[in-house]
Amino acid sequence: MRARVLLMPGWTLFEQLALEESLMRSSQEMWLLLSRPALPAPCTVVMGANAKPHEVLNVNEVLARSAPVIRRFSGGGTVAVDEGITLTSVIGSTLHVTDAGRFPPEIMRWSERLYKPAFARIGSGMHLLEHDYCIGQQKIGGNAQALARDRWVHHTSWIWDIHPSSLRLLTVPPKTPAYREERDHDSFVARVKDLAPAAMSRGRLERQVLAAMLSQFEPVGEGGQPLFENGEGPNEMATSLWDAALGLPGASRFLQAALQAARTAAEQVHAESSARKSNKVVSLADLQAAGSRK
Amino acid sequence: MAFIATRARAAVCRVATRAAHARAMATLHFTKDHEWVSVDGDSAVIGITQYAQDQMGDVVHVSLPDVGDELSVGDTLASIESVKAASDVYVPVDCVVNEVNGELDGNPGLVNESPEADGWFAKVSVKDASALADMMDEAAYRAFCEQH
Repeated sequence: MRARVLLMPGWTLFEQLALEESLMRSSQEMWLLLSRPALPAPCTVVMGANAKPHEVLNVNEVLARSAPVIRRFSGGGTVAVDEGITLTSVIGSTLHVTDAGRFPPEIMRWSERLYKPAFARIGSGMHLLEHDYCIGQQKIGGNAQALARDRWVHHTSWIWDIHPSSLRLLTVPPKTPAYREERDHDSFVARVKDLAPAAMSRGRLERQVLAAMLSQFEPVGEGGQPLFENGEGPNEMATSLWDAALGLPGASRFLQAALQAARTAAEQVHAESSARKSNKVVSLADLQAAGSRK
Repeated sequence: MAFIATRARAAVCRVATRAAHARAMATLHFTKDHEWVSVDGDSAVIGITQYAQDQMGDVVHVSLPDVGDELSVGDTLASIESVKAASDVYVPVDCVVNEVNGELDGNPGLVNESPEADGWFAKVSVKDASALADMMDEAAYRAFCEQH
């Protein structure tokens, strides 16, 4: 399966979500994305499509800190995104990613198989527990999906690190998975950096995650042109793309151009898309109304 | 709904018991995207099938159209949120929305409990019935589910 690669594109969180929705609704290509989004504030809260702010947010804390709140186009729960969070997304097609199935539970199980190798040497390894990515009994990543016709987005926020104050923006939601066992956020959530071997940096983990994605998708450029033609394996491809994305010395100019072209192509799809645009910034008035309901 | 089942061939496509008295004069049609359409003259009721709800998991929210909306085949009829996912459901016939199921607002789980009866999405006036010709009857739909 072929996919365009969006690596560290530099978009804000809202921009990224908007682009993902457009790519799902209006593009025919498959896309892989890995990013540390640009954040306008120390922490941004992202709610699922139909979440109720008064149920999932510590609204007074959100207001006091002027934390932006986004309602995203996909389902699922609420996440706090600060500088310690890495985002990955797969924008796929049921016609092409045939082993992911066509329903949300199947796609979620496919995603576990996709990402699992990246965490093989961290703690007891990553596994899907009910609907969450966990190491042991602790959640290390939130995930959500959106499906439209034969296209879908599966996106994940990985907790390399998170500031305790970011977690305080969230309440314990009304419905929680059974394995949570009424634990508060600090006990329920784990920071991967605390579980990873000392030698593992965040960048190294991100390259491993990228390699895991590239083990299932062949990275291509415009017109489906392969980005690698010498039999490079996923790890080598991930390293080369990483170096190109960060502009490191010796990075391939061809790959740098390809990554920029992918970014431009994605932005063009979004600009030209007349499809529904569902992501919204939750207004101050709505947050204040939510606060009064508590 | 834009899903095609991928269960093993041995999976059974269960079609729930319907409210027979409500559909005594209606004909049932099924789409490959696992929607059902109960047509009675120029009117129809639309929902998703037992199979679809079974595959999706617990439904936590359903967004429905507005009464009066004029929809064409392929337009979004509804958006279903199940755990972790928001999924679009598409209208299978050109129609005008006459009524939406308000019960789903406070009780979205009705889609899981009774997808082909009490969990209906919308009642519509059919503007162009030609799309019905491409749909399946119940027996064909059952066979379709078993094959996919």
